[in-house]
Amino acid sequence: MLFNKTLYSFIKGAQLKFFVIIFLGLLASVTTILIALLLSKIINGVFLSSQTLQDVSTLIIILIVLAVLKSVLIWSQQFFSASLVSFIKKSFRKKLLAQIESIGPLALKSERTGEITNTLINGVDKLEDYFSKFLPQMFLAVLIPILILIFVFPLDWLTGIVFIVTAPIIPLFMFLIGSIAEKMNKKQWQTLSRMSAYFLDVLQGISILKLFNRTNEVIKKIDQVSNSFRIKTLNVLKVAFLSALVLEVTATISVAVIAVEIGLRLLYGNFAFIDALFILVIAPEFYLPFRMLGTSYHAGMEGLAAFENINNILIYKNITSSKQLIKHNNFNFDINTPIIIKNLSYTYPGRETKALDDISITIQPKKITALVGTSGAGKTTLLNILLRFINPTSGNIYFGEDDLQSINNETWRNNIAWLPQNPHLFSKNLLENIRISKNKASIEEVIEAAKKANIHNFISSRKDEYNSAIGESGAKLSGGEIKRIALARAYLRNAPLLFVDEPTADLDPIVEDEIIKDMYKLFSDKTVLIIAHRLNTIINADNIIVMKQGKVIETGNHNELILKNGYYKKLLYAHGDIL
Amino acid sequence: MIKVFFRIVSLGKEYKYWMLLAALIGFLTVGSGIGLMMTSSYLIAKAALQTPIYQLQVAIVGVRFFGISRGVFRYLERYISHNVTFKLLAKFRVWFFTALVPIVPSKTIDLTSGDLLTRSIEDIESIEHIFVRVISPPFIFVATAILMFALLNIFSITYAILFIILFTGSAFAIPYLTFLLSNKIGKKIVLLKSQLKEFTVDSLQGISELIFYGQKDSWENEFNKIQDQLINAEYRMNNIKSLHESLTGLAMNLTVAMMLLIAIPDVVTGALNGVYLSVISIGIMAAFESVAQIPQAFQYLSKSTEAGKRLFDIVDTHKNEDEINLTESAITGYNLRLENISFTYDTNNNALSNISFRINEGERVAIVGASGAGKSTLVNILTKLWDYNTGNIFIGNENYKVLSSTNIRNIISVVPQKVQLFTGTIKENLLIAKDGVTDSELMRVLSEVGLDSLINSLPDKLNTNIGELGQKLSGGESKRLTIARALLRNSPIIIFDEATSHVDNLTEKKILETIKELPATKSVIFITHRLNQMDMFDNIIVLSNGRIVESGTHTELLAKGNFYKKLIDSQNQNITLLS
Repeated sequence: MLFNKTLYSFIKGAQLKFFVIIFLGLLASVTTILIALLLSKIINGVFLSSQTLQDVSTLIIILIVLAVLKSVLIWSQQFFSASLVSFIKKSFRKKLLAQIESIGPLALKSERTGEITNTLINGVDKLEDYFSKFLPQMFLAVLIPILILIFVFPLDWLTGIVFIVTAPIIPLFMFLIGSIAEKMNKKQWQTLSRMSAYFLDVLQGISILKLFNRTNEVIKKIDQVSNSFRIKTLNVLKVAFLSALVLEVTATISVAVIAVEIGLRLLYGNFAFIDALFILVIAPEFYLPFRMLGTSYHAGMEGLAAFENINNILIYKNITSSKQLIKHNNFNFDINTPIIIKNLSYTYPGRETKALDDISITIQPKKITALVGTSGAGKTTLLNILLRFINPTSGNIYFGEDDLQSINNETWRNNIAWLPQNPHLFSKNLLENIRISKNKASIEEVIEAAKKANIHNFISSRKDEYNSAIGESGAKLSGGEIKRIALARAYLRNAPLLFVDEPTADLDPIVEDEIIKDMYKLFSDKTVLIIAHRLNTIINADNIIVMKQGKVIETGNHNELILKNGYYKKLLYAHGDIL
Repeated sequence: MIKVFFRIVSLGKEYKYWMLLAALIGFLTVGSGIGLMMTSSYLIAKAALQTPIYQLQVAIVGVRFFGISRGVFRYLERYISHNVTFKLLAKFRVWFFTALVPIVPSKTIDLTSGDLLTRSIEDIESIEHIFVRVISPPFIFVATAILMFALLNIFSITYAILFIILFTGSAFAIPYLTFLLSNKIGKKIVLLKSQLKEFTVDSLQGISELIFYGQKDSWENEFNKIQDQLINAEYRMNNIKSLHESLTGLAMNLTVAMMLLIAIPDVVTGALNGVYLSVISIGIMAAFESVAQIPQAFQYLSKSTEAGKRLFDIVDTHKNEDEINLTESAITGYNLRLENISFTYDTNNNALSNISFRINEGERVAIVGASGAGKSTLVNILTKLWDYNTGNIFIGNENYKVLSSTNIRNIISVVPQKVQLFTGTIKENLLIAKDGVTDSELMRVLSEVGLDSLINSLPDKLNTNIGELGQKLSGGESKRLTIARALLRNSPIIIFDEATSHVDNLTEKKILETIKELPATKSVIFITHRLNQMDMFDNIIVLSNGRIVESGTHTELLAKGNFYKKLIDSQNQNITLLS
């Protein structure tokens, strides 16, 4: 049904505005009725009572005044509904933002950023018409006809009955047809979004399609997909428009019935022309609110569909804070504390196989621990748990004596510097991009960090130096420069724990080599956990943890592992050139 | 604006008769409304004069006819106009895709950015409404004006002229007024909205960093800052928009009042039969229905022309291909020869200069060099995605210049650097390469790239949806899928563009194995910056800054001790760094 309780509950806090909107709508209707009364009085006077312009001039002036008043009322009604819309949009976006923050980055990555952005901006916009047009109209569609009935009944009960009998037919049919159409429509929404996804897909893949000589086929397919969508949609609309047809036909036919019925009674002289004219003028107004409800029906549907998308995000289970113990606030960090991982397992929601399967390891303080394994071995999952982006399915992580669950996320992260696999640069200037890792850092500190990351010279050579803007996802910077900015962030953060994820995966060797050198300088006196699939970068780690399919297979340093002659050695020999 | 408008219209001219039909029926809907109200009021006015019933028969029939026809026409109009809209949507999509084909990959516009394409898709959806919302309403309005002029002219030319002035005035003056008021705000809203979107996309892409660095609050503040401006602008816009509705209502009532002022003296003098006083007044009221859609038409006009302009800007980008006179020719022999190829970007100074080399049929050649050395440019030129400025390329004995791109791409398969899979099943994605391949053949190719066991473990096997596969497909696995796709074409020349970047060592080894095991007749061009197992190549071409700095076999190049040796050394250095 189009009246959604959850949605309506968003009006809370702006109920007064909502009722003012309805009240003003009703007042505007009263002026409409008065105008109709005046008009019939004027015409009746001139037509049947031989009145002159002078006789009716006062009435015409009042009519003009009422017309002005009506337009003022309508404008004020819209004025309030604009302010209601502002309120609602803000509160929806606020809720969504809070939710996005609490869902956490990992869950968000599986959804597409584009989709979430769309829901947050366009989706919320689509609620506008639901709240400003559809919802008030729901109330007005009941109230205005009642108001008109109050005027019409004393004049002519027969017309009143025609009104009363026809009025329920309209919502009834609208509901019946509407609910069928709604079901069909939902399916249609899916087809629509699938069709849009297909179109975006082929647009993005044009180069590939060209390389495979497939563009002509795709052109045909776009046409075919769009047209089959058109035919399917029209089949839905055929039904959906029936409700409009019923509405229109009921309204016009009852006007016709009333006209004929009144006309005949006028003919036999048992009815006054003035009343007849009034009823004729007001009859379309009686059905107008239904018609307007019909036109805003689509907006209502769209709003509901958009709300469903919004709700999908709102009901998403919060995976980072679902099982947290009481937080320490006065947690004292000691660099000499090992991180002990006990029987840690993790399964991604909706998957069967464990991404991490009963892992127990210790990360020694002030040592370099390397995670080694093929893709899918669980290295990144482990790092994400340590970064507290996800919570383990079972098992525990201890920082010395403290269960990690009992340490506040923010406190924990404050002690970590992190070099992600694909660092993101924000569309801000370089200074702010580095300073993100330490909010209160002075410019001098930022420059110092940039120097250590060997990016200072590059930044200084730019026109606006540290104030240089960065384009979409760092478009104006090369891959190496982006990694260096991330490195500068880590230097600036200067935290005792350092988590590194697959450094410099696809840079050219000379650049990669230089960046790695600059990164190693950061390692001294820190507890380092580093992931790499390039084995040559971690051969000299203090401890190597070899993982396979979510399990820890071997541990030890390079020499020990070579002696073991196990999986590690096999992995290494894959890297034929080196050994 | 007008130019853009007509360009959009001309794109849809194929459906002009459909459009005309829909507009015509739209007019008949309004016309029936006018007819219903006029005949009804005629009926009751005549009846009030106790006219004999047989004189009323025509009016009664008219009332009944219009009462039914209006609903039917409304239904037909909606059905047909939606049909036209969807036809246009299909048409515009095909047009846009077709127009993009010769442009992508473009040197000047980055179409790989999803944002640009998403916006284009929205723009297309915005111009599809140009018919229903922009063209049709003025048509209906003009037709209605003519009808009313003709009707009023029966009584007096003065009425007709007065009506036309007021009617046209309110249809255009009111929208024009609000257009003036809202023009600036409208542009501001567009700007702010895209700003808010960009900010959101940027933040969501960097959500890991935002959460890790505890930037939630400042992020939210910034979001709210832009949002507040946007909502404020939208609020003012809504208030201006609501002026439309209130002023149009006012205009209607004032027009009726004016008409009364002129017509009443005529009734008094007997120049106008009193019966028609109500007929005229009520007819005017009904005619104003056609004014209601006009303001919207103005809004959509500017909205859709702006959208159209953005689309045309993309489509009008300099095209790369001009293949009018090229004929398909049978190519014999697949020796590839480049002679003094040079290439300059329009803006960038990264270029290829004087590239000459030869790849004999069945040879395995690696092209190596740092990022930015010109490797990818070379791929685009070899596949004729871009035209080179000077020099010649020969395949067999044919010059590239006389070969169509289809011709060339039938011979050359590419494993592109960026993994691009399409919505659909694994099978559908593979079949892009070649039609009519059996499942067992597909599985054979998949086993060549080591994906057979993964695919077999899926419940739907080859028919598994890529999207549903989601994170189950790792970066390395999707890369291998694109390799399988390229192998499936069985073309004599295969280009691997950075096929081993973003993959771990074992996967890299597997991929290199696959290449080694390709039939000896196939030429392989292996583009890479990772110098592993380079001894498997017959020839290595080393690129730096768009030039070939040296070439030869792995052993030869190492012996030379130049640039290539440096690349290898820096890659292997890492082992000793930590000790």
